[in-house]
Amino acid sequence: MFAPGPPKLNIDPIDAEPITINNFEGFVGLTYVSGMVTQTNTRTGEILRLPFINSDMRFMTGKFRGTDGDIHKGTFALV
Amino acid sequence: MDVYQLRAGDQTPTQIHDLNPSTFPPVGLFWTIELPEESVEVRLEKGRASLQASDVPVFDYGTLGNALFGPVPSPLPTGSVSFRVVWSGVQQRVNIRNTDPVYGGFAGEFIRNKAQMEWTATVGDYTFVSDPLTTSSSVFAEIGHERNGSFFPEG
Repeated sequence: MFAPGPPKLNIDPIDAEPITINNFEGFVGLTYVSGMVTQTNTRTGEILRLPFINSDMRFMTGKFRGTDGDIHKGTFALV
Repeated sequence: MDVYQLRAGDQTPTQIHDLNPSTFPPVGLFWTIELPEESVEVRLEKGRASLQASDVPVFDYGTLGNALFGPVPSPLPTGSVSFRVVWSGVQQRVNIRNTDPVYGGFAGEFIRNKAQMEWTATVGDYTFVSDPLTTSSSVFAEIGHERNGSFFPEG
């Protein structure tokens, strides 16, 4: 599995493979997304405002050749 | 989901939550889960796509390092996450045919654009509610149509 991105991110080359499934043909989406989240501790009630940073989110939807050798349709997400 | 905290005296934030769906060690479909077909919508010609899912089971490894190499927190917090990700815009169109022995073995037509996400989760003793989708931002985003392995003729 690769993490394609621009050089400033210091990860894999921008033209690296974004799909995490082999023998696949279909649509793919990838992003490293950031924002703010409110965390609540359900035991203590403590509430914190925290950043989520460069969360790697991807989708893949299309056809793939399974381990049975047959072609299947499928939709997947990398979380 | 990678949640951080900027602690007093630190220059950079420290990761405190790493929510992903894979058991440890990650094998097979790496951090990848199957979803219903309707979870994804793509309008590639418009530069648009969306991904959404509800109640996806996850573990909280604390940090990326723990998720990849251990040690795994014990007990490992479990829970679920719901999310919506939206890709939009067209910043760059690229056609890639990558035969590099390490990073390649695929071809595709891609649009580099931007993406935003909103999400909620309940894991262990914590609940999470992100700010609205429009307040988030991406440092890199792309959507495309790709083929690899036996669907990549060059092989």
